[in-house]
Amino acid sequence: MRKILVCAFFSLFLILPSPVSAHAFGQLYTLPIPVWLYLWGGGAAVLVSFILIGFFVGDRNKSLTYPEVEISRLVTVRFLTSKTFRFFLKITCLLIFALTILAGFLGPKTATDNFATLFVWIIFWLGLTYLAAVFGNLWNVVNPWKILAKAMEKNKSLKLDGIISYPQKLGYLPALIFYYIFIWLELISNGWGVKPVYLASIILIYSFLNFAGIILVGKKIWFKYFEFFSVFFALISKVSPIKITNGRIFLRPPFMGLLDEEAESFTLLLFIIFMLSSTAFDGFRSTIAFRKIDFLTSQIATGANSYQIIESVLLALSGIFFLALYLWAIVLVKTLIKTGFSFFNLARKFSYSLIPIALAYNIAHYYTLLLVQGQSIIPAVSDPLNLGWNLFNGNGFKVNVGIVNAAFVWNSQVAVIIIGHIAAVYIAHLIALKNFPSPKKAMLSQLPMLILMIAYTITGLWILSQPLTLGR
Amino acid sequence: MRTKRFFLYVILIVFILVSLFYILKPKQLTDNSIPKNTITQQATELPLPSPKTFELVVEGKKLVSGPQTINVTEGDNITIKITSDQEEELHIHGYDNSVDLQKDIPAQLSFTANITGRFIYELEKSETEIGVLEVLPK
Repeated sequence: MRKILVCAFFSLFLILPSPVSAHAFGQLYTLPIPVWLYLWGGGAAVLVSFILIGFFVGDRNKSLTYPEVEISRLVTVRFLTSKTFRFFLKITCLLIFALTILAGFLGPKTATDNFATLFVWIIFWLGLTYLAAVFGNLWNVVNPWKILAKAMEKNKSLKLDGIISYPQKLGYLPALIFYYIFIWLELISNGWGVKPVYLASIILIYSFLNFAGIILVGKKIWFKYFEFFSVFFALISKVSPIKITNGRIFLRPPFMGLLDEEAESFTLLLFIIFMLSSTAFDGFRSTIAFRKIDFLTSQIATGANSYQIIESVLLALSGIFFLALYLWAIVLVKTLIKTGFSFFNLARKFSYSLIPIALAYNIAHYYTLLLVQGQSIIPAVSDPLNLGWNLFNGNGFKVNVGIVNAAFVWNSQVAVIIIGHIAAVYIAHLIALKNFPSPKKAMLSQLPMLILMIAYTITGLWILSQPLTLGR
Repeated sequence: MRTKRFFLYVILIVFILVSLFYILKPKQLTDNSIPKNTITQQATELPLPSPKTFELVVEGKKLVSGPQTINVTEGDNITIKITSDQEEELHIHGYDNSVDLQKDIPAQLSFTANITGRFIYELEKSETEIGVLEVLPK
């Protein structure tokens, strides 16, 4: 079955349209970080790691409590969580959802001017990621397919419990496959993801799959294991300093949500690894180093779409590379401390500690895109359907490319990666304390994890420091 | 107890990292260093900031002469002279500057590089990227 799927997937390349230039869409204006800063970042990662070890040495305090403040009674919070406001929010989301599809079909044909492409790839995909990291899982509230499913359930007294039972063994694999396809559309598809009409069609297809899936496997299973945005934003929102329990809202230190529970399935680890590797792959593919690999492989594979096939394979391979590093660290943990936990169990337990690094990669690579190209949403939303409107007075709006200075970009990119690193090391240590009886064992278990995190961090910095090829 | 230690460690980490940052940071950021694979041309050695001039020649939509990477520093006045053997339009991303190119007639684009970053320039009509302008911060 899997073989057929793989064949079907790759045969897609045969019917690809002739290359469409992605043109200026998603183009970064950032310069590679200078060598001295790269060295500082690498050194900082190593140094900080050992200072953190020092912090935990001799720490007999095994409690994993943290300070928290209840904020549910605040007026702003009460307003934002009120039924009226949520209803208003949901209606707005459905309207934006409809507008996105309409704009894709009827709006300007270029990705940089169209509301659909700008909204989906920049405002939603990057913006909501950062909002989720700060405010928690907003996608759970604004997910248009979930809103519609809930509405269907209410009005028709329809029960969306599913017709077939989903084999839970497969875990999050369906979401991972959707995620891979999404990234493939973004980076490799040669314009499918960035051509407004194609993007709108893809949204319609995905919506159809959503409704078919909700009916087949049921609403609960679908949004848990299939709908990859739900999986993605749920993972990201675990770093948020906002905690919701039994309808009460608390403010707590960021990243602590990663300790609330552990990944329930090994397949969720694969999903988290892909969050890391797909961002790294995107950064890496525009470097000169990558072009060299590309050149080598192009000697082996020739053909009209060989380039895309190679990139598709490399996208998957980059995930395998990051996974191999992680599993290697887990093997070392297991041999060092001789725990009763099985290998897969251990791999699962530590997987959430990778989320801060994945988020840091994402912010460092893409935040300038949101700040600079995100501005284009103003003219785009002023006339989304190309009807000559000027709703928000955005016609003639000029994007301010110089909104952030290159020196600030460099420093912030490295700072974000180092903060992600510190959070990851810290969380991994707390997970160890939670699971291993003696603090000594916990400490020992963290040596391989530390090396792993340093490797991930330096890889991220290395990619940011690489000379770039012409187009990207 | 742990909270107190935690903050002490945070202060320690921040202090070490910030001081290292300032020790490592070069005094002048790559100002006049010329990276290997690029040709930077300075017009004349005048005491006043004179525009840095770069000459590009395009034949058959390909850059046959001139730098593929133009390296300048924030605030530099630059002039790009370009000759193409076909009717085209030179467009610099980000700066969004463009100039029409007539067949075999030199055209010129002058501006102050006041936005830092990496900006690709291309032949707009055929969407052919021919080089990149790198503006380093001061």
